[in-house]
Amino acid sequence: MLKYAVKRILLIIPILFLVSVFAFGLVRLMPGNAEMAFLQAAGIPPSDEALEHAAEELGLNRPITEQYTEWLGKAVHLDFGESFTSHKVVREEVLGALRNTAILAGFSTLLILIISVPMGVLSAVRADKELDHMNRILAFLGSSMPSFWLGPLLVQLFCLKLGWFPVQGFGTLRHLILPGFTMAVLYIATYSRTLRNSLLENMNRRFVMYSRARGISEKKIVMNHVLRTSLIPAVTTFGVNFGHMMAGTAIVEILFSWPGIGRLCVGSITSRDYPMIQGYIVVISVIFVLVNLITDLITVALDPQMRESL
Amino acid sequence: MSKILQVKNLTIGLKKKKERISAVDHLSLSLERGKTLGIIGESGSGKSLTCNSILGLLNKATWDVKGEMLLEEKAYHPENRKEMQKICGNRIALIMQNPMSAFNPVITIRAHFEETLNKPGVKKKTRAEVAKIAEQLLERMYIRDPKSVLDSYAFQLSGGMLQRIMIALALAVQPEILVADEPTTALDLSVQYEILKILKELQAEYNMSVLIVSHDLSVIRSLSDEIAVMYAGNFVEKGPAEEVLENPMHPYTRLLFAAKPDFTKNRLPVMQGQPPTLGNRAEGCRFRTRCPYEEESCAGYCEPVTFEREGHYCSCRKWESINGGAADGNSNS
Repeated sequence: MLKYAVKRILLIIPILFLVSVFAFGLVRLMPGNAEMAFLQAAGIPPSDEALEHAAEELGLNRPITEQYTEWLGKAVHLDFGESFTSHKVVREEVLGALRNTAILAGFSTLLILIISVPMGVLSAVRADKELDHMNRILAFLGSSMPSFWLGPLLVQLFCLKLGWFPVQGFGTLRHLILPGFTMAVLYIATYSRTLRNSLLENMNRRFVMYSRARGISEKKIVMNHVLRTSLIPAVTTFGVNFGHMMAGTAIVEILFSWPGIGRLCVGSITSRDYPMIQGYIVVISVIFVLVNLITDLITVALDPQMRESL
Repeated sequence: MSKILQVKNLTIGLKKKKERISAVDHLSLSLERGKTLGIIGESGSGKSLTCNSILGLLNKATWDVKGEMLLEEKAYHPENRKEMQKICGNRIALIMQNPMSAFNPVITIRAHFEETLNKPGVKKKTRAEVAKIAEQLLERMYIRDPKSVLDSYAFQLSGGMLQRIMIALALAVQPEILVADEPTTALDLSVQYEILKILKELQAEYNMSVLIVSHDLSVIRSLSDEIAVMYAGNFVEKGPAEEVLENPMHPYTRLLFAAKPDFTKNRLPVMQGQPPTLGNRAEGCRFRTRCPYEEESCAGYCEPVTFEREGHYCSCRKWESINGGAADGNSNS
């Protein structure tokens, strides 16, 4: 187990190296031109002279390998340079936005867990009864409703009509509820259904019959035997989804003016803010790799068969 | 002799959209305290269904179970989960076939013991107490290193080991009745012999009644006080073990016993045909399509085991003429 963890952690190094190459290269392959965007942001009319001057100032006129090695040398010290447009320190900007997104994603995860697990269990226990049908309809609605539509609907109802929550902003729990929920709806819908199905499937396994033959109570069978075996695959899919949430759901963040990392990324792309985009890609890659590592470790901890095969 | 378990008119039907296919048909049995009833029959004759229905384990959505069940002359209701929770793993314990898939792969054997011994309504035991009981039982099952076995998962253990653990789990609750559904089918011969030996010893020690089901004649022979032969959903013959083994009355039983290899050079007589599938059972005597003594009148005749000769029952209406006659399946052995 420990050996496995160490091996996985060491593997992060080559992965991140590749990521840095792609982050740097792809950003520069983007159509559009950083000098132009820089001048526009500064309000300078883009003459040839001004463009050349801007390229020099941003260091874009040097050979690309030189630019890369210089950037990488700083990046390993977590220094991603300054933003082209706002001249703020990239590291602070990205990490600050990441923190905000983490709050949102964390809250969504909490909602997903406390809603979809009981919902899945109840639908499985009362399969094909009213509750299950209701859940099926809700899940269908939830998974087919895009967040850019659901978000405004929720704002319309809860903020404008009922006035329960602020329309946008950031800082308190009341600000968190609507964006968190909007983000969670899709996952709640899919998780509660997949959990229901895998619970039902596992209910027909022979070890359930054997547990009944030993007189174990239904409640214990569901909690100790069936839920446990059903949660293992769910953890894996959730890990991937959590990574996505951490990368920022730009739509939700923009909709609710949440100063998160998704919004920061979209903004930086439109202004061709190379250092910021590169910083974003590297930080998000680290997050993805870590989340994957953690989910793998959890799966291994939950599933003795996996542990055996290490 | 007191009858500890009685099953009367058990009928199990497979629920299909329109029709209802009968899998077990008006079966009755009774088990005496401290005795062993062995049920033998081909695959698909309804043996396992009968076992599972006694413990109320059949899925209500798939199976339609009718009939009366009595535990020590008192009726109980296998369809009532609450009631069965008190009976299962308490008064009646089950040994399932294919132990590999009967254990939960993500919890340890120790956890299986803990939940079995600490089921609701039983006095709580500490972890140490459970471990002590489990280790003692496993040692009795000739398991050499019970501590490490307890901390293993099912997939780390062999089939024979798991079967022994399953017997230990069944005995841990000191049941009055042990239902053993093909307890040795998944095992190789040497292990089979060991398991049967253990079962016999422990039955005598705990004064348990055992209902054992198998398609293996040698298993049934070595354990049973009474033997019932099952064919296509009901018994065709039952009686004291020795009597049935020595003087089989029903043509099916004769053919079944004849299909047992011996050490002569004679060809093994093989019963022609296959047992009928669920939807395909013949009217009248169900065995008549494969029976060498079939007559037209057999088609209109369907009776449970009613013909008797000194406590030995059989369902064949021609049993007297068959037993007097020369040509039967045993003639060449």
